[in-house]
Amino acid sequence: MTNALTKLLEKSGLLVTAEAHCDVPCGIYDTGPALYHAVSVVRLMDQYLAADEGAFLTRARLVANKEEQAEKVKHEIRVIWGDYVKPPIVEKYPNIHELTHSIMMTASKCKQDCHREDGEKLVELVNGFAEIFWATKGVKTGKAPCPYEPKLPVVFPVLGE
Amino acid sequence: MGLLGFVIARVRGASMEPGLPDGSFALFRRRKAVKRGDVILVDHPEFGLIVKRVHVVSRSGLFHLEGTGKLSTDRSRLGGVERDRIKGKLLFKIL
Repeated sequence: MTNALTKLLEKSGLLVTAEAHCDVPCGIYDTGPALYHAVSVVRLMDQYLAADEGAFLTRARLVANKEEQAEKVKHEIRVIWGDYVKPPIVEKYPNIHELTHSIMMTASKCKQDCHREDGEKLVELVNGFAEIFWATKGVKTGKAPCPYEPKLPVVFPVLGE
Repeated sequence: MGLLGFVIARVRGASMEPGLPDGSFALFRRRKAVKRGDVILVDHPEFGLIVKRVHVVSRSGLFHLEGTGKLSTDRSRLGGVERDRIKGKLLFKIL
């Protein structure tokens, strides 16, 4: 069907696009994004706490971003927990369910309020999750402060060993 | 959506292969009786406008969906939809 014809049919409402809707099992999982979002939560908390009280728009934007980042932490962890974590992993790391639940609860706390200690706890919990995740892949991990604010210690995979 | 009870859908994605591969066009007709095995155009509450096959019609009148390709979202996630969400039944593939 030519482009011109499809455009004409779309304009007339006769042609629609329908998704076949696939779940492509790509098998790519990584705790990096969760950690990135967790650290972002703390950074946004710091910026919020340092912002001038009268800077309403800036503060509103920081709060909105903080909530978004915390929600992304929940999403990233939920996907790994739901799609990647299987019974053999649970057998080997029996605290994985409790740890995941703690991450959900702590991320929610970070959304609800602006206590830095909640943010720090979130990063630490995600660090714990990352250590288990990389261990399941037989990959060693290191821990060092991230090279940007808030410079909190983060777990990273030591690849290529 | 559609004209005189007909609508053409361009299918995106591989989960209705081999009958409706990615990029194919198909003609659907509204107000047709729908039964098990029919390929339908559905306004899904979670996934939007999708093309799927009716796996089974439950006693409560819900149309449970499935894909025909290996990559399709599975039945449990697609769930069942009410009749008024069905926007057309496949008549034939155009190209």
